[in-house]
Amino acid sequence: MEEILYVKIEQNIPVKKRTLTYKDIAALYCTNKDIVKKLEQEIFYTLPNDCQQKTMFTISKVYEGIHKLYPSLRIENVGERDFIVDLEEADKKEKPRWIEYAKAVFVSLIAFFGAAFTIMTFNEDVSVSSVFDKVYRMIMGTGKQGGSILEISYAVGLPAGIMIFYNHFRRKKIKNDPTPIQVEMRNYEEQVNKALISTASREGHTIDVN
Amino acid sequence: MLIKQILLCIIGLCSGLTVAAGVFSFITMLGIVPRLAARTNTAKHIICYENAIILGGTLGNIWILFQLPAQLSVVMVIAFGVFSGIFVGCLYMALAETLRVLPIMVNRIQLKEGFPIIVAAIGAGKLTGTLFQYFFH
Repeated sequence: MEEILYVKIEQNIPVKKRTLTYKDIAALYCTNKDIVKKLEQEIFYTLPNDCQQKTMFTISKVYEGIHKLYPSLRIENVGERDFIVDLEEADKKEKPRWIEYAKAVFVSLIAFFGAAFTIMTFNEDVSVSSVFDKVYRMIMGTGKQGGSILEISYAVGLPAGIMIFYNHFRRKKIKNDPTPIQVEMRNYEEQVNKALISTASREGHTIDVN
Repeated sequence: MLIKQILLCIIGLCSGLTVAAGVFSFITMLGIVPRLAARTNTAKHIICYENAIILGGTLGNIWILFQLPAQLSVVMVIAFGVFSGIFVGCLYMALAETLRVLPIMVNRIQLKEGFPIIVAAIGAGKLTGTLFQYFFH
């Protein structure tokens, strides 16, 4: 039976060193374990010292390298066709933790005041209070002064709605269930990766077979 | 009488739930918070940002709804202005991006360079517009 090597590569591969073996960049599977073992030790590419942080590759470069060792091996790609190697310099100093917390506080403040601002403009925009006045008069027959049960329950329902929307109830049961913002975050990262890959290929920076 | 009160309560609760889903899915889909988290490399604090949104939405809603008099210091006023300003700036750029305004414009006039200038021009335009609207109207 012909042996097939299955190669799975992620779109974005964070690495810490410049010498990349096949093990660093791909998940390999083959019925013949020796091939996998040997390939995982082999060097795929060495990033030059002056390279940028992100380097774009195509899968054919990986094929070329593997075929140099096993010319007749059949390779199946089950992962990405283009991928990014993201070099994180090991010697770069770790930023102090308080900077990260300061940034988190900064973004939290934007989120806090932004959410407050948005809901306030929304309430004013669609004149929630005059709608509530009308609803109250229709049901109770008399006008109301100040905050009634209607406003109070609206003020209770709103945070409940946000928490349901952000999955803050269910996450206690299902730990790995991502919230909508985490999903958006992944979408955004994927779009950035795609843009990087297509920009690199348009400008000819992609590492491809020559 | 009690039935009427219960009816009011149900209407209020349901409208709160619906408004929350609508307004906050709008904020989420525009992807402002993910963008900010990506820029600051703080993706692991997203739960904290969500809590901030929940808190902000709740308190802002209560505040405007019951017209609560809050004698806050000028620091708080400045904080409110600055941070909601940043948020709205992100919001409107995200909106423009979702509507694909810039990519289509750039494609039509076949622009290849000068994107930073365009972004700076948008910022300057927004600043001028805001100042004009509030101070020279």
